[in-house]
Amino acid sequence: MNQRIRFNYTSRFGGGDSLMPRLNFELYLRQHTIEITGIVDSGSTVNVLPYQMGLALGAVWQEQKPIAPLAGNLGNLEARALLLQASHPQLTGINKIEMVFAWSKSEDAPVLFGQMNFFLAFDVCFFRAENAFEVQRR
Amino acid sequence: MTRTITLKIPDSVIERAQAASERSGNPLETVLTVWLEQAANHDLESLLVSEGVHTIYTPVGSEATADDLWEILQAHQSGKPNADKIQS
Repeated sequence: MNQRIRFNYTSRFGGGDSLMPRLNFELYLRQHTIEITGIVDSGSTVNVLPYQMGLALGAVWQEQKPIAPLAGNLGNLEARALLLQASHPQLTGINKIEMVFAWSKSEDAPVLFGQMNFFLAFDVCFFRAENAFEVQRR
Repeated sequence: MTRTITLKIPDSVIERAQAASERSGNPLETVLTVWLEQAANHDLESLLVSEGVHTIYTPVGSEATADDLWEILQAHQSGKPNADKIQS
């Protein structure tokens, strides 16, 4: 059985402001690997990857399949599907999982781990008052 | 006890306050005072950090996008050729 791992909410700037449930993952595309920090966002319908990170993985925009536009303030920019492999030392071990992202043209958007498909791959419990959340591989 | 403070308020806020004033029949000053009191009762200090800008990127309501991604994921996992162009 996969273990439930507890993480602390963290601040982007290291202070007490903007505490969010953030996770580090390694993403893989062919021979490219990057480490990213994303927000575990149960309100987000999809995983979101900003444009520069896709480029850093060697993805080519024109080669990715267009998808329906994102809602909200990312909706004014085109998004494409980007299927990646991902790993986390505590959550996936040496195994990699498939994670599909809405790769946005936005360079400002944070990495978001949303319902499709982060929350299909992991069970998540939030304990905001304790500044903690728990994640378990399904 | 009260104090008199002069504030520079954006036109957009004044317009909303005037509309609320007309709807409620209360003076503009009363509407603005009530709004300030309501804001003071909430923890809104975080709104003042990051130069007052808090962009919400969460794409709520992107079900069609999620459907597209689901199809791509399913097609990839079922090994369909040309399901996508990713060679992860």
